[in-house]
Amino acid sequence: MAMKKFKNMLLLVLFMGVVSSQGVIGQESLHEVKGHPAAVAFSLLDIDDNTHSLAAYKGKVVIVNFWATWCPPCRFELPAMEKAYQKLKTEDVIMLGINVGEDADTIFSFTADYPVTFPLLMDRDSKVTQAYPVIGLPTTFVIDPNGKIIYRAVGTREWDERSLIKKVLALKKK
Amino acid sequence: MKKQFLMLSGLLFIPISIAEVVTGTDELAQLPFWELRTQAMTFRLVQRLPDQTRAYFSGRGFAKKDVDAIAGYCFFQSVYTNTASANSQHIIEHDASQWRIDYANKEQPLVLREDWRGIWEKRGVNNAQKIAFEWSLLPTRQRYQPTDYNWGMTAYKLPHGAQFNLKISWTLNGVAKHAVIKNIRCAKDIYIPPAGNQ
Repeated sequence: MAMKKFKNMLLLVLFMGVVSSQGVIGQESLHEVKGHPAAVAFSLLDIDDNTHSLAAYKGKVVIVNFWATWCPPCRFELPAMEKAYQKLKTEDVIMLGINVGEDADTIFSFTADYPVTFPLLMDRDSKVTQAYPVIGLPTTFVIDPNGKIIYRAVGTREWDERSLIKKVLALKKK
Repeated sequence: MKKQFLMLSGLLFIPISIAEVVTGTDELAQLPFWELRTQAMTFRLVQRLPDQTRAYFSGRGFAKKDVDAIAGYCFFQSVYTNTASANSQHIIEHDASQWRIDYANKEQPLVLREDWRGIWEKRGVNNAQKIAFEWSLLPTRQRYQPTDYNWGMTAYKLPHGAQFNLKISWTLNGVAKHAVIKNIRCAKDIYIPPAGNQ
């Protein structure tokens, strides 16, 4: 009897251990960047030949997503980013996708399968990407109206998820 | 009972040191995978066929001689994930320059972003291709906050079909951790005809 009790306790402890060690997968999170560093200024062309300077968006919340067409998680993330953009653009939040290393033709062809309406900028020599710094793709930064980097996400997020939208919109009041 | 209680108390610390390796067929790639699962972290290696590697880098504009040179290495698609819950404080950091391949009774490092820079410099590969290659690889060093993850290839200077062990290390909130993923197999250089032509 004591042995059976012990076995049951053992199973419970192991189960709790697994749950606590693995956490709950699927939760969305944005991580605050220590010290809120100033976002690195950039001026890049989009695939329609328009120039986008970060300085021009001062006073607005800006989401900057670094991505590439060949990066599977980036492709996975784009539809959710587009959905988020549809919700956020009416709130005057800017979303910029910065492609790492590819040309306008490659990106344009790609958008036939992954249509997005937010600007897709080209960082052909990856200098802006390295300056942020981005270490792996995709990586996304959320910049507040004062030009400070507040959040960073490494890997994909469900950007249209309510809690993320709420976090982004809260920066407008800063 | 006291003895049982002590044994049980000890078990509370098991998740800190438990590391299991799961193998199987990756659903997306339909190729073998090896996945290390441990506290707040998973690391998955998915076999890549040399032909996949050739196609991928041909698509990035590499010359045939360079594509063939790349395909001579053994590649795995690699996914490193901080699996801790969003509101936890688990920070994982990896440094792949510390990892070692155990093959034929010898240890060797992986071929990392920094090594490839030198390789491409010698071969005179252009800047756009260097950038594409570099960003296709798993970062050598990365810091993962809860729910963060990175994909990328890892490269091994091993013959096609080689079986090896990978000694990997990482830190969890600054505490060093180690594990060995055993009996990983590089893909053989085989041609798989498209479905319907078999």
